[in-house]
Amino acid sequence: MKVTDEILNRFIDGELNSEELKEFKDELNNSRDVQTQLRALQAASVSFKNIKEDSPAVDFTSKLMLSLHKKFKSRRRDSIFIASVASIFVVISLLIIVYILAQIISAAGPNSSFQPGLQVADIFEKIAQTFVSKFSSSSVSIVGTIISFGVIVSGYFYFDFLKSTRSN
Amino acid sequence: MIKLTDSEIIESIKRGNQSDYSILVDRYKNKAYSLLKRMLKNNMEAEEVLQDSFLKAFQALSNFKGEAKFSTWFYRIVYNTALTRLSTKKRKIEMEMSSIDDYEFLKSGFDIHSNEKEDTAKMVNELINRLPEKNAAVVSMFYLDEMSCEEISNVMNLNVTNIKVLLYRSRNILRDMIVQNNLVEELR
Repeated sequence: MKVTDEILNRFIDGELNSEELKEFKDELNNSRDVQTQLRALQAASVSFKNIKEDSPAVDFTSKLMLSLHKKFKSRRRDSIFIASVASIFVVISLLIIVYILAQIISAAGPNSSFQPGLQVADIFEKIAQTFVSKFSSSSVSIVGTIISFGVIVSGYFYFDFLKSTRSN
Repeated sequence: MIKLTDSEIIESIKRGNQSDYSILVDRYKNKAYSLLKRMLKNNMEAEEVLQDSFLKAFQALSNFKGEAKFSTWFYRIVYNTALTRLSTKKRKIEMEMSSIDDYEFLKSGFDIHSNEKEDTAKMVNELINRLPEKNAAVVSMFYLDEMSCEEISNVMNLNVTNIKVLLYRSRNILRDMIVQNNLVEELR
């Protein structure tokens, strides 16, 4: 049996089968070189076993738990922000739907013939007219100013929010 | 005091007791840090990656089904986070260029005769610090964490034969150094 590095390593790990083990032991008894190699490899293995465990900073756990707490706090704040924006959007949508329904119901009074398609078309026409009048040459500057102001204010709060989230 | 198992702690965290996570952190921080320190060769980076790994593990805890041991699952996060850090810094390429087969560089810089026996432990540590990241990871997990080659293969996503090759090569390097410096009897 030729004693290779692999055989020596497998012997150390107790992975040789009975036949291999017998052959290896015969070779070990007859060869001083194999004995030296095995002793050296065992010494290497023992040295690796004696490796000492390292430890991070003493306050590692407390710092980690603190950052976990902060991270989840900011995530909770994120979800509150998204939920509030979404709820405003939903409320506005519901109001529009309720308004349209109210218009349809009032238009379809006991004396009038009820034609839902026409009623809805009328309501949308009215809404469109309202928007057109708001954007007419006389009031476009006022509407533009209000929208710009709204964009600037919401932009400021949005970037401030992003900044605080990142710093957290 | 009753020592809770990893699964019991995880169940408790999943029920909302987030502070119980500190028990798991205390249980694994030293071993994971030792692994990272040997892979990254830098204490500060090792601590940063350790923190990232614990945060990632916490976020992914709901996906942990308990099919594997928590330690294996967690070490996989640690190992992959370390690899990502190494590749980000392009250090990985440099490390792979200095192949383990050409390991003369590992042996340079040791003057055992002048340092005598008390420094042999230091020599072993320094050697491990010089090992390429995969070898260092295998040595650390096999000897320090007493993980089997199968468990290490699960962590590193390599087959068992490759793990054994990495382990044997690391041992052989140290053996050659021990023979060269006539330290066989001292270390036994």
